[in-house]
Amino acid sequence: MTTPQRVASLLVQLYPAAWRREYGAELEAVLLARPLGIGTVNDVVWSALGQHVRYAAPPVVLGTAAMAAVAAWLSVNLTMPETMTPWGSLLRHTTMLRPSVIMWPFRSEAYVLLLLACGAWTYIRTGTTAPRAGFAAMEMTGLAGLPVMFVGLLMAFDVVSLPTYSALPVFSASFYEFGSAWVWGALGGLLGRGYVRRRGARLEVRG
Amino acid sequence: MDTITAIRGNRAGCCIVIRHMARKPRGGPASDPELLILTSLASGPKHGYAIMTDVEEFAGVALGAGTLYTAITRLVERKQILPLSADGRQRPYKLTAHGAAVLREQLQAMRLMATAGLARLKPA
Repeated sequence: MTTPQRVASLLVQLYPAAWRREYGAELEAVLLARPLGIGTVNDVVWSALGQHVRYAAPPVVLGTAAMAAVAAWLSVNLTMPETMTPWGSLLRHTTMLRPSVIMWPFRSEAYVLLLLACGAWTYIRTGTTAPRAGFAAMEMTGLAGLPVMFVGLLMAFDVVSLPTYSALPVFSASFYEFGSAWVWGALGGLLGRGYVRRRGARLEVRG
Repeated sequence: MDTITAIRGNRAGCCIVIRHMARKPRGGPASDPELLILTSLASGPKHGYAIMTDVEEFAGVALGAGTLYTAITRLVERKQILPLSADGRQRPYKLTAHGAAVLREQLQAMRLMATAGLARLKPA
């Protein structure tokens, strides 16, 4: 196998498997028809990223984006004093017994909108039921909360420390959000159904 | 009926113009990859690389392989083009009747816009 063949094959591998099965061989043949330049590589990388977004389930796309935001916020919290961080701490103590720690952005209006969007998008894409749209929103919340669970785990093994917080409440903080995530996601699913019926929009059902 | 009223009256055409404006292809609506591919296939079935070279010839637009296949994927999903059975690794694509109707509609909307724009650019 020559170097261009290797590069072309590698570039095709960047696409989702389902897309590759349909168009992979053709794309590889087109890539090999001309010398591969930086522009072509850049174009293919962005196209592959776009296909991943198109093929990925809504909770995965939104959950991954939310997870990146949560991870960035936590990194700032772990490396800088709370007074110096732009939006303060991601985690907050509550006056309740359970949960004693919450991720406050998960209780914000913006996050509710994200849950509604996740539910609606899931319905529009798959034509599923409202309860399943709720489960999709739970999946999104689970993904978004992974960095916090990971930090809770690290705290349990004394790898990192967050002053005034203990490991278990941090680890379990995202679990308490699942119930409301389901409710908002299901409501989003109903909104999605309303949109489809009102607009007569075609469902983007993908296998 | 002036041209703008005609465009307003033609809701589908208006939507197409707005859609093109929203996506802002680098060289204007005429460099939209999907429109270029539909135009290329209007002269007969072609495979990916043949579409690429044809577009370069008639429009002077160099479509990247990634952009080409992203647009092909969308057009196949919308049933505007259809893959034919392939002999080799390259599969030819054919314009469907629906694709031809969409292309005609888009080109007519663009012609209305171009006529109005060029008329207004004339010195008073």
